[in-house]
Amino acid sequence: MALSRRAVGILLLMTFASAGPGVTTSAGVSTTNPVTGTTSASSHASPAPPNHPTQPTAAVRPAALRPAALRPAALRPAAGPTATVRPAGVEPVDRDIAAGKGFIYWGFYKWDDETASWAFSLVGANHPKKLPKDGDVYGFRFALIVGSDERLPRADGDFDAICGSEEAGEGEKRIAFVLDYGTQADAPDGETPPDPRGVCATAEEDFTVQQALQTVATVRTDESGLICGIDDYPAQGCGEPVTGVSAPPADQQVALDLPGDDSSEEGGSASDEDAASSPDDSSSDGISTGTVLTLVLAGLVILTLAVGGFVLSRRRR
Amino acid sequence: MRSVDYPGYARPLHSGAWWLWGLGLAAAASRTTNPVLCLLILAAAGFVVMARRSRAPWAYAFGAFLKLGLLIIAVRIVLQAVLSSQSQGIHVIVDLPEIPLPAWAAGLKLGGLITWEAVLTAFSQGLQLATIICCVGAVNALASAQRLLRSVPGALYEVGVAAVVALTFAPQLVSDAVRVRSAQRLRGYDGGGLAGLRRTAMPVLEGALGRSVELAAAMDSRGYGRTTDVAVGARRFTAALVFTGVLGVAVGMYGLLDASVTGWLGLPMLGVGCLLAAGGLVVGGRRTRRTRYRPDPWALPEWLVVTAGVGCAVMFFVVAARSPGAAVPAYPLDIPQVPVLALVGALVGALPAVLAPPTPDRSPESGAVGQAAAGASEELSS
Repeated sequence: MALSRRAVGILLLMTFASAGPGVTTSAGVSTTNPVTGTTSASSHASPAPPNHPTQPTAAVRPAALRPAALRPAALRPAAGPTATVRPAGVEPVDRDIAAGKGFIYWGFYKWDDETASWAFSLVGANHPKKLPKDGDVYGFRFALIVGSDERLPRADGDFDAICGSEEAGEGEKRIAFVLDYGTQADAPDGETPPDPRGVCATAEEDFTVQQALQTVATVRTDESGLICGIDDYPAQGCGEPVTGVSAPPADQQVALDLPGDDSSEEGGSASDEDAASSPDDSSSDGISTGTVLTLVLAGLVILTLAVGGFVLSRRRR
Repeated sequence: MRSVDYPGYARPLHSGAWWLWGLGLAAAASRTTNPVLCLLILAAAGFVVMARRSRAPWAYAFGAFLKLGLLIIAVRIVLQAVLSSQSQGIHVIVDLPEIPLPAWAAGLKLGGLITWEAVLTAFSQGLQLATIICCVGAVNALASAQRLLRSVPGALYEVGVAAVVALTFAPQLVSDAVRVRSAQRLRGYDGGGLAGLRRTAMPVLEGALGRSVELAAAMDSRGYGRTTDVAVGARRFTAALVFTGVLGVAVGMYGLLDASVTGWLGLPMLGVGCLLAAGGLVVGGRRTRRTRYRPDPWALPEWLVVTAGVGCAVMFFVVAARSPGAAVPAYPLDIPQVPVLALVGALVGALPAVLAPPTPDRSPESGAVGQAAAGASEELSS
C-alpha cells in the first residue's frame, strides 16, 4: 500500500506537470511562426546577435552585452512594446561580416533638432510612458544591417516641410514621420521598396508613436509587438536573419515624397476612422465576393456543426 | 474483411486513434490565429464528441474544457487589452483612467486607452489556445485512458501506468464535481461563490485521490508492475540503448532548430536517436511478460479516424505555408479570410463523427450483443 501511495503521489505530480508545459508548449508552437512561416525558429535559436529583437536576453541585461564602442542598443522595456531593437553585435560582429550574416528590419529613429541628426531610439515605438509631443519627428528605416554599420533614414527630419500645413485640433498633436523603405539592396527577395515618404500624423494626445503611425500607415507587428512591416512592406517576415550578404553600399541622401507635392495623394489630414485603411493597402479594402462567400460558407459550417452537435447531445439524454 | 472493419459495428474505437486524431486537430489549430478557422476546428471537434461519446463519466469532460476555453479567452483579453500597451491600435473603445505604476514596471500600464485592435488580437490568440485545449478535451471525452494503457510498449510499462492514471484524473474530477454538487443540492445547499467552491473542492479532490489510491491498489493486486528476471548485463544494455537514443533525439532536435550548427547534427542525429530509442524499447519490452486480455483491435475505422486527423493537420499546414495572411491575420480589424482548403480541412476533421463506429452503450441490447460478438470474433481471429 505504501508503494501504491507513493505511486499515486507521483501520478498527481505528473498530472499537474503535464498540464503546465503542455499548455505553454502549444502556445509556443503558435508563437514560433507568426508571419514568417520560415526561419523564425532558427532566429530564436541563433546565438549570433545578443540583442536580436526576438531574443529574451535582450530584455534582461542589454547593458552587460553592450560594448562601449557601439551605440546603445535599443532597450526593450519590461514586458516590452518595442518597435525595433538594434541587433548590435558584440564580438561576433567581425565574424558576422566575414560570414555574411545580417538582419533586415525596421529601425526606429528620433530626429534630434539640436544636433540636426537622427538618433537611434532608446525606447520602443509603443512605449506607453514615452509619448511623442507635438512637433516631434520620427524616422523608420527598413535596412539590411551587417555587423554594426549604421543605416539611418536617408532624409532629414524636417518637421516644417512635412507637417507645416497641418493644424492640430483640440486634444491632438502633430507628429512627422519619415518612412524610408530602404534601397533595393535592403529589399527581401522579390520585393521592391516604395519611395521614401514623409507624412504628418494628427493623432490624439494619448497616442504612442506607433499608434500615431497607424493613423497614416498600416503597421504589421508580430506577437511580441515588434514592428515587422509598414505599409505592407515587406509583405512577409519579421527581423529575419539573412546569410550570404555583404554590407550594402553607403546611403545617398534622397528627397522625400511629401503629401503636399502630389495632388493625387489624399488631402493630408488623416482622420482616425478611415486612416488605417486609406493608405494604399489592399488588405482591408480588397474584400472580394470570393472572400465573403467562403466566410459565409464557413459560418454555415460552424453553425451546422454546433447545432448538429447540440441536437445529438439532446437526443442522447 | 473482419467484422471489426465495418464502421457500423458498435464497439469503442481504439484510444490511440482518438489521440492521434485529436493531436492532428490541435496541430492544425496551432498553425492559425484566424478566429474563423479556430472556430471551425472547435466546431468539428465538438461535433465528433457529441456524435461518438460514450456514457462513461469522462464523456462529459468536453463541456468543462469549453468553459476553461472561455476563461482563457477572458483572462487573455483582460491581461492584454487592459494591462498591456503592446497591441493597441487606433480604434479606441474606451479611455480608462490610467493608474500610475512605479518605474520598474516601465513597460506595463493600467488603464488608459483600450482599443479594438488589442481586444481582437487578444481574443484571437486566446481562442487559438482554447481551441488547442478543447481538442485535447475532446479526446479526453472520447477515449478511455485505461484502454490506452494496454497499447503502451512493455518497456515503458510503469511510465505508461503512471501517465494513464494521471490522464484519468482530469475527467474524473469533473464527474466528481457534478456528483458532489448534485448531492449538495439534494441536501438543500445551493451555494455559489467562493465558499461554495471550497465546499465542492475538498470532497472532489479527496474523492479523486481516493480513487487513484484504489486504482493503484487494484492494479497492484492484479500483478501489475511485476517483472521477469533479466540478467544485469541485458538490463544495463537496454538502459544504455534508451539513454543514448533519447540523448540523440535531444541533440537532433537542437540541431534542427538551431540553424547555426552543422547539418549532420540535425535530421540524421534525430533519426539515429529514434532508432536507438525504439531498439531499446523493444529489447526492454522483453522484461515484462504480459498477455493481453481482449486486445483492442486496430482495424479500418481506426485508420480512417487517424487519416481524418492527420489530413486536417496537413491541410492547415499547407494553408499556413501558402497563405500566411489568412492563417495568421496581420491586421486584427480586417475581415478574416477563409481559404477553401481550411474549410475542407475542418470538415475532414469532423468526419470521424460517421467514420468511427458507434459506441456500444448507445442502444443497450444491440450493444451488449455486439460486444459479446466482438469478443468472440477476436478470440477466433487471434
